[in-house]
Parts: sequence; C-alpha cells; structure tokens
Amino acid sequence: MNPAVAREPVAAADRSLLKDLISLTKPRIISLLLVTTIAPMYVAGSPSWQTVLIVALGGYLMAGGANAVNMYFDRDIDDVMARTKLRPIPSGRMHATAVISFGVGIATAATWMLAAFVNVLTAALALAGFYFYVFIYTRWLKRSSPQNIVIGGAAGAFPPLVGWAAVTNRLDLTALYLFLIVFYWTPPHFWALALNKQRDYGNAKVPMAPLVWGERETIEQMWWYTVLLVGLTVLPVAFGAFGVVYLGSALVLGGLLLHGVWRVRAAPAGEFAKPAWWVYGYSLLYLALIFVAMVVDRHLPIG
Amino acid sequence: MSASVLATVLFWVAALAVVVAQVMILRSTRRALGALRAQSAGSGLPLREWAFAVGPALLLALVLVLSWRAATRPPVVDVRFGPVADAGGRP
Repeated sequence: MNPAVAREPVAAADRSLLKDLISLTKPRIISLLLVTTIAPMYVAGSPSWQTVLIVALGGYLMAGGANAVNMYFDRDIDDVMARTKLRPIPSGRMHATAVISFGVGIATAATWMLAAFVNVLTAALALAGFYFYVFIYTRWLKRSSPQNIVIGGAAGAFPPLVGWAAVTNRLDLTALYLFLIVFYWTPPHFWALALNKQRDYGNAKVPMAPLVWGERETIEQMWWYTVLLVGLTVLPVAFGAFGVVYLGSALVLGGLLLHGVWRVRAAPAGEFAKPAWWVYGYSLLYLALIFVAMVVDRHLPIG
Repeated sequence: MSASVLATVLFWVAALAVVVAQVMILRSTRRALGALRAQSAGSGLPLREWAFAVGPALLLALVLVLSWRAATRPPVVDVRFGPVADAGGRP
C-alpha cells in the first residue's frame, strides 16, 4: 500500500476535526467580543502587547469554551433549526461528550492563563461571563422567557469589564458604561435576527419575543432600546470619560442605527424583513466602531 | 458657553432620552404581559418577567445618579503635580 495514499484520508480527517473544533468556538461571534475586550484595554491605559495578546487568547478560549458548552446543551434544538443543524453535534461529526469536554477544557485553560499572567479580577470576570452564558442564558432563560436575550445579554457584556480589569485591576463608572452599552445593544441586535428567523425559533420552541409578544411589540421595544442605547453612549462625555471625537462618532453611528430601526418600525406589517436584516448587520459594525471611536478619542490629542 | 455648561446640557438631554426610553420599555412590557395574561387567563402578572424588566431599570437609575455625581464633582488638584485624572480616568 502506498503510504502517501493512506495518509491522505487521515490528514483530511485531522483537518476536518480541527475545522469542527474551531467552529465549536463560533469564531465569527468571538471576533466582535475581542473588539469589545481589547478596545477597553486601550481606553483604560496603554497596555503592553504581551498583556493584550494574553487577554485576547484567554478571552477567545473562555468565550469559545462557553460557545462549545452552549452547543452541548442546545444539541436537541440545534437539530431542528436550519441555521444550526450543520453544527458538529447535530450533524453527527462529533460526540456530545467530546464537545463539552473540549468546552470546559479550554475555559479552564483560559481561567488559569488570565489568573496567572494578568490578574485574578480579570480571570474572575471572564469566568463569571462563562457561567452567566452557560447557566443563566443557555440553561435557564433561553427556553423559558421572551426576555431571554435582554437578561442573557449581560453575558456578552462581560468582555469590556475583562479588558478594563486587565489594565487597571479594578472597575469604575466608565467600565460600567462599557458593560451597559453592550447590554442595551443586545436586544435590538438579536430581535432584528429573531424577526427574520421566527419559524426556526418556533420549530425549536425557543420563546423569542416576536413569537410571544408579537412583531409590533418587539419592534416597539427595539426602537426604545435603541433610543436608550444612543443616550447611554453620549452620557460618558458628560463626566469627562470621552471627548469630542467620541461624541461625534457616537452621534453619527447612533443616528444611523436609529434610522435603521425606524425603518423597521415604519415598515408595513410583514414587510420588515429587509430593514431588519440591515439593522442586524449594521448593529455589528456599530458596536465595533463605537469601541474603536473610544480608543481613537483617548489617544488623539484633542477633545 | 463654557465646557461645564455644555457637559450639563449634554447630561440632561441624554439622561432624558434614557429615562423616557426606559419608561416606554416598561410600558411595552406591561402591555405584552397583560396581553399574555388575557390569552392564557393566568393568575396575576408573571413576577419573574417583571423583575427582568425592572431590574435593568433600577441599575440604570443608579448609574445615572453616579454619572451626575461624577459630572458635578470638582476636579481633584494635587498641589505637587497639578490636576489629576477625573472621574472618567481622562488625565
């Protein structure tokens, strides 16, 4: 037998396993979490590149671990949703036990790494985010409350606290604002997706707001959450946390988001799909850019 | 117009938007929960859902109070080195 021929399927299987392991961590989602982790580090001070690298790696492993554990607990509903049925467990490519072991393993490694090389507060906050996502959101709220992503959104708001604590080893009012900005950004972002994926969520019996409260009430709340978010992004300027560069960015970026949600609100019944997709996509960019604007503002010698 | 007056105006305009939006969210939640109760003829409003709506509102109220205190706090002056970092950490 030609050894080269025998090695090829093995190599392909290894590549496939690696691809599945990476997909368990949901790298596309984590890229935004990393922006909201690393940007606050540069808002809080001037961290060394080594600290940034360790926090980025630790943050990736912790969030990736949480996502893998989420896929373990959600394996029954992932199987019935078109959006998730190709994930490693429902498609049969990975065993559920292997997935939860992988998730807990990399989260444990992240905790050790952050505690040993950064500080204990950073590790504790990252671990709190992991537990919140796994137990409060995935295990409790996701399948029991239409406000699942309102309260569950707190899990996604931990990364700014992690980044801030990594540089200052404490939390303050500005850090709390960064947390709240992500917290209040979450409902309009996820409800824009939920409006367009109602059938999927209905099949999986996940009580998303549009299914339980109805589309109109959900869109109404999207609008007011966006107004609240934009107001919240401006407030830190009032107590001197940021200057004019950030203020201008927050108003322009926030204005665009308000315009997008207004289009969803103004759309005739059943015709909100296109503007809702726009809000979903733009809100991702919005969150990244608002954090980048904070960094630019802090490091530009004006304002 | 001085910077402190601008900051005060900015605070109140933004705080007003935040408070109005939060009140409208609570009203919308009350409507949604009321409609659900009417459909299912359940007994009383689901307290847990109310707690999920009211909890963030209370946190927000606390943050607004802290922000106002930070915005109106006079800058701390170190006689050896001049003004030190303000509440937002900006030197």
